[in-house]
Amino acid sequence: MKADVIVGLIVIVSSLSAIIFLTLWCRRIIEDLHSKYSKKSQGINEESKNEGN
Amino acid sequence: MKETDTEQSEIAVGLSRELKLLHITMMGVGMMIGAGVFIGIGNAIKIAGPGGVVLTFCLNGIIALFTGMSYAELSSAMPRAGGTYNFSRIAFGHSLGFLTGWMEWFASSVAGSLYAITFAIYTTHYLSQLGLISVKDIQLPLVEKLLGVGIASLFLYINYRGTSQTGTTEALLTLGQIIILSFIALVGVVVAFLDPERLANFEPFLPYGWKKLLITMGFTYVAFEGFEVIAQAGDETIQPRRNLPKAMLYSILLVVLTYVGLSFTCVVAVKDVGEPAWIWIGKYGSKGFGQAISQLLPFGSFLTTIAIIFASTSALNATIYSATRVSYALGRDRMLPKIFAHISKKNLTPDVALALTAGIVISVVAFLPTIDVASSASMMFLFLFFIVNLCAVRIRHQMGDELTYGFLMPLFPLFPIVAIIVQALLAAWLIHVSLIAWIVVPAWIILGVIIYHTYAKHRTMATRDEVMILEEKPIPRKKRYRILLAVANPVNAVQLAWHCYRFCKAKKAEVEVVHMVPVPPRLSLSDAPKYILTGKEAIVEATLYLSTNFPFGSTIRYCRSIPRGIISTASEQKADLLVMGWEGFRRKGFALGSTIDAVLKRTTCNVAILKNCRQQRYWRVLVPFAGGPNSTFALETASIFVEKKGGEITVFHVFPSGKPNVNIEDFLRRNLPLLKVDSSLFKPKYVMSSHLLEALLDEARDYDLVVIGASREGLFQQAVMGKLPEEFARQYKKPLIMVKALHPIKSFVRKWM
Repeated sequence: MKADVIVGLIVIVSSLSAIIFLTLWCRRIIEDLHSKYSKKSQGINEESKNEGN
Repeated sequence: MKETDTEQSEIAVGLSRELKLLHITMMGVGMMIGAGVFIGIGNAIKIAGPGGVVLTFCLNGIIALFTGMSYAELSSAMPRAGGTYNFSRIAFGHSLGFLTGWMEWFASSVAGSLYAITFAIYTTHYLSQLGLISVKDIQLPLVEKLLGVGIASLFLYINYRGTSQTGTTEALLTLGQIIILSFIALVGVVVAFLDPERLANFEPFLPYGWKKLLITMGFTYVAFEGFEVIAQAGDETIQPRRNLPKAMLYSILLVVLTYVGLSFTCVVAVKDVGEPAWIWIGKYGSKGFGQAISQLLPFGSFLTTIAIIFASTSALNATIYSATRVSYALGRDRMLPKIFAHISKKNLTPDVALALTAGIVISVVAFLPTIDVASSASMMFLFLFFIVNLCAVRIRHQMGDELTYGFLMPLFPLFPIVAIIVQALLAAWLIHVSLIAWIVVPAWIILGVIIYHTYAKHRTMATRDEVMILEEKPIPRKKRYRILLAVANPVNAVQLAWHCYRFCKAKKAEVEVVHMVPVPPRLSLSDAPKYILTGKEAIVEATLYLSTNFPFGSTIRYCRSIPRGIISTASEQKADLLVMGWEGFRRKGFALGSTIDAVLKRTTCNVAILKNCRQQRYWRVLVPFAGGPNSTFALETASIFVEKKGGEITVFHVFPSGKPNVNIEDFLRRNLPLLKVDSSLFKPKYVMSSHLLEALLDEARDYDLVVIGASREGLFQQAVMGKLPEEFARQYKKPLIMVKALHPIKSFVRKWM
């Protein structure tokens, strides 16, 4: 097998893996931030409820 | 002036969020799989060879993903401000904002031209393969151009008429398209596995070396434009901070895998053609993909043509829509003459912006060669994405502390910087493919700069968007039984509010008053404030009754369709009861009208529809009774509205012959203790009559109020029982409340489906 074929295959496989890995990594970040944001707004609601009382 | 007054009021103005993650992901995928890939594969094989085409889509996928991360971060932080034009206006001010909008208008228009040309090329090719038309080689370009102009004109007209697909229909069409393309890609992989000799088609892998990849990456980059439209749906998406970035990243991933699969299949599809496969495919240029697939599958040519027709027409429609919206927005913000924001009174579409977009689309289709159109569109999108990556870096640095991000890209600012460098390089390299693109695109940008300095600079104004962009309140938590009161106009708002008061008192409820402002599909949702005055008046009327006695909130929501808006609001607010009025009018083909029918069928909470309820006190209340699922809620509603002193509720059952179908006394004995209402108020009554409706109308004549349950939903039940309650509701002219009780299992299924 020629060198350009080997390098080409490595580039194809690694770029597809990188795309899948990055998508999953970003998904994880989105979920983490979402749960953090939900907890925060829940805390604000609780706080305003206590102030009201 | 009125606008200013309304802004000062305390009524919240919100949007009806109707699009889910699947809808917006499919929206992005549908826009991306337009034409670039079909035209690009054949040309890329010709320039970079068989390995080069697969590498092109892999590497472009990475750059698109980096840019997608920038879009995802920006739209998660500012879901209201979706779109490249708004991002650059916030990051760099009006000058670059204008230039971006100006470029976006041209980019979308040229992309639309490319889709029209792709449609024309593949349709002509398929029809001549079938022998349905006979075109000589010399006439072919002319026929393709004419067909391209024809299809572009058709979709420009469709956009003028203002018809649009719903989110679900569009999602289904895109899903169908992906299934066909995935099938083609899968067949290629299977064939290569069963017949490994076909892998020899990849020899030589890169016949002209690595440098050629820069050219093919440049002109096929247009195949990755489209995911950015997801950012424009921020106003209509459920949980936009979470779903917008996810949809962008998922759509890029799906599209990259599809493109890589298709380009691999295209190479392995060809066998025994008497010359190297890549040379054979390259000879066909833009048609190379279709030609190769027709070698692989018996109906390959048909399948490819169908997929391309679907892909190119839906993308053509969407790009014309997008281009028109951008030029309209520039006119609305006074950056271009006011005439750009003119709306056709007949169709509620921005007709002048559309006419000018038509001028660009048709001229490009008619006068530019395909490869130059693809290169021009690619170059403009490369510049636009370049700007978005800059915006992501600048906004995180300058405003990052003030924003609530739903997504923060990792290793910041590595990815946007790499994307900026590569995109600049690819745009520069396009000079090797199309000199025309390198003349047309800079000329358009220079024209934009001149227009900005001579015209737009002195007329720009702060828009309402800019003020509201950074604000987004979290949904308040539900504390008790929640009633959603939908008011349509100030005339009936008072009566509705009074009836709602009775519900609130009985249920110790909190109440949210909502008014829906329908915005035609061709107008931006940000234009809705022009139409909210009626809603404000209606809400103020309702407020007088309710706000001092119960926890109270009010919202005006923009929506594309009133029933969808009400249903999604009820679901989002976790309402227990929806109260709304009905004037008694209906359109042909609907039981109670297009809005009421949809609300009764699809709302996932209890519903009470009020008709002619102008009184404040009811002594004699009639409850038609058939023992159905809404009976208990009807009895409870009647007990809420009847006067407790001297009032009376007649539970009325009419049956055609023989014995009564139900035992009212038994039903009351079992259910009234659960409802905690005074059983002495209820009086059963049975009547035998073969004319059920007439008997019911006759009986109801002497009552102050009728409370009736809506029809059962099953087709079989309706065929047997008819829609008696709806027919009665239409004909009865006195106060009436039609109720529908929540069915827990059906509601659960609807909510999740």
